[in-house]
Amino acid sequence: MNAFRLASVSYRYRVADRCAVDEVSLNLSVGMIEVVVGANGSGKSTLLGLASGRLRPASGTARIGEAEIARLSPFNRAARIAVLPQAERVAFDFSCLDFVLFARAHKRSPFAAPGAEDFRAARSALETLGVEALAERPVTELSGGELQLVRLARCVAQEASLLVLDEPTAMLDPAHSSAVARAVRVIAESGKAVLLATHDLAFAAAVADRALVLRQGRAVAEDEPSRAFDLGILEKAFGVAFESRLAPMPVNLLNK
Amino acid sequence: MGSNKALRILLLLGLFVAVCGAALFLGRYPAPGFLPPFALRDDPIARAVVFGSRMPRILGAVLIGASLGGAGAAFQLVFANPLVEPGFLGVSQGAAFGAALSMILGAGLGPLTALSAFVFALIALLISSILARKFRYGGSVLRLVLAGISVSAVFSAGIAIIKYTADPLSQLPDITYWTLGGLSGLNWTSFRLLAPSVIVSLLLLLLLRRRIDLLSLDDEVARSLGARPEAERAFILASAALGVAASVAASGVVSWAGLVVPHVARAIVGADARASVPVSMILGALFLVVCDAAARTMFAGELPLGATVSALGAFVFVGFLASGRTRIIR
Repeated sequence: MNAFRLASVSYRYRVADRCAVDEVSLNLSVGMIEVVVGANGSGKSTLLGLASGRLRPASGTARIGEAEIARLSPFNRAARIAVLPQAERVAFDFSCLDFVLFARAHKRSPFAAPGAEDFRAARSALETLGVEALAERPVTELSGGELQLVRLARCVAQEASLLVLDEPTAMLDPAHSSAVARAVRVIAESGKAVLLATHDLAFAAAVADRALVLRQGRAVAEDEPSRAFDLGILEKAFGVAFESRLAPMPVNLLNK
Repeated sequence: MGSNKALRILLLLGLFVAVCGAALFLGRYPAPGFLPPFALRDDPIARAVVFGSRMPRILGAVLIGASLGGAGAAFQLVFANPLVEPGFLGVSQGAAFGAALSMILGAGLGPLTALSAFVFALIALLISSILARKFRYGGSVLRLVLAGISVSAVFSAGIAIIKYTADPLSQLPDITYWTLGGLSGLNWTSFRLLAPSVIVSLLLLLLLRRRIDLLSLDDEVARSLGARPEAERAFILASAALGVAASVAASGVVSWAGLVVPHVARAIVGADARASVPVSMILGALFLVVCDAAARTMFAGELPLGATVSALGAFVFVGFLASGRTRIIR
């Protein structure tokens, strides 16, 4: 079933001399994970912005199911698309459970308190990420890896059909990266589509069903990772030569 | 909300009611200290003092404290900054200017001055929000802060000019006294002027406290969770400022309460606005009733409320900053 579709979308920032995203198309089915890779400034974040509805395409369409994303109200968008920005500042020491419960805001009227169903969903999301023990801990006291898992739990608790994740493993150690990889797979298997941007090619190859390689806003490849991560394509995308070597990897990442 | 939190809130409410009850009987009539309750039956002056003078004053302190505490908690959460206080968008200085202007025009300390303070507080808020939209520097929060600083500075300059031109014998003392903050002018008439705006403001903040939580997250996250950060933040600020403007109009400038009280509330029930906003209201009310009781009882002449609140507030604030219980990010 088609969950999310970009049909030849372009986006240009006001002062830029070229499109940040230039006629990119992709289809994501339910249960699929697609990674977006490319050099800094290649258009990954812009593409994610178009997918999340933060940006409105200058041309082409971005759809979730049958609905055009840019036309959805924030409330309806939250019901369909969960977003994990690369970084996030948390100014107050909410408990992890309260922090995850925020994801349920679109499920109820603006004035209603979270109900039993919301608490159940929040606790189950923390369990999916393996961090249920952190429920009562203040988010401000978590390590970077723990916070990332709790933020992902918030995306899960949102019960959206598409998850848009911007560099979910940035600055994480191998153990936490593989925990994120495992979680992303579990999320996809539960019937969600996942679109994620990353610089971590090993993580991308291990977790994704499809890979989109961007160079200056254009797609240079959109294929299975084994084909999209061809050394020639990567060299074209990143502007440096690549070579395949075996580096140590967590077993969790290898067992796709 | 856990049962532990609910118990703490109940205890706090009990303490609040007890303190308000005690404050009714505390004062300097007929002698400094507590008035015996049976005096209400026998002494008509005691009845007049308790019901005609102390009761509106204490109820006024409750509303003003609740408004400053609740607004402080809301401001700090929606700006994701624990150093923000309700006056910082120009509301306090705007109100002080309005009051000074009315006094120099001959209205004295009365309802007309309160109304003028209220109107100018809202004007200051309006100018701050318009300026914030016009600025081409920084994100939405920084633009509001910069606009608030600019507007406050302009109204402070206005107050200075008014003071400079005021009659030093008849007008200047009134203006100076008012800007120090105090509740001695609160009677049933000014209470009736104060109550509607504050009660509407408190109800709005209580109703919207789950949205306030969302706005404490980064705007991009809040948006992805279904919020409209700019519009919702503006509405919550206006709701809070409505109460603050009415409070400043009734009591003069009482700073620090709105800054300090939310820190204490978060230490008691956590950051979540579901509990921290109502607890900030209760604590703010409690804090102001205690400070006002001290201000009117300790000496034969009244201490300015603004001074007692600031002195006590600053001690608590320094304690919090030194204890490392507060994180400042933005």
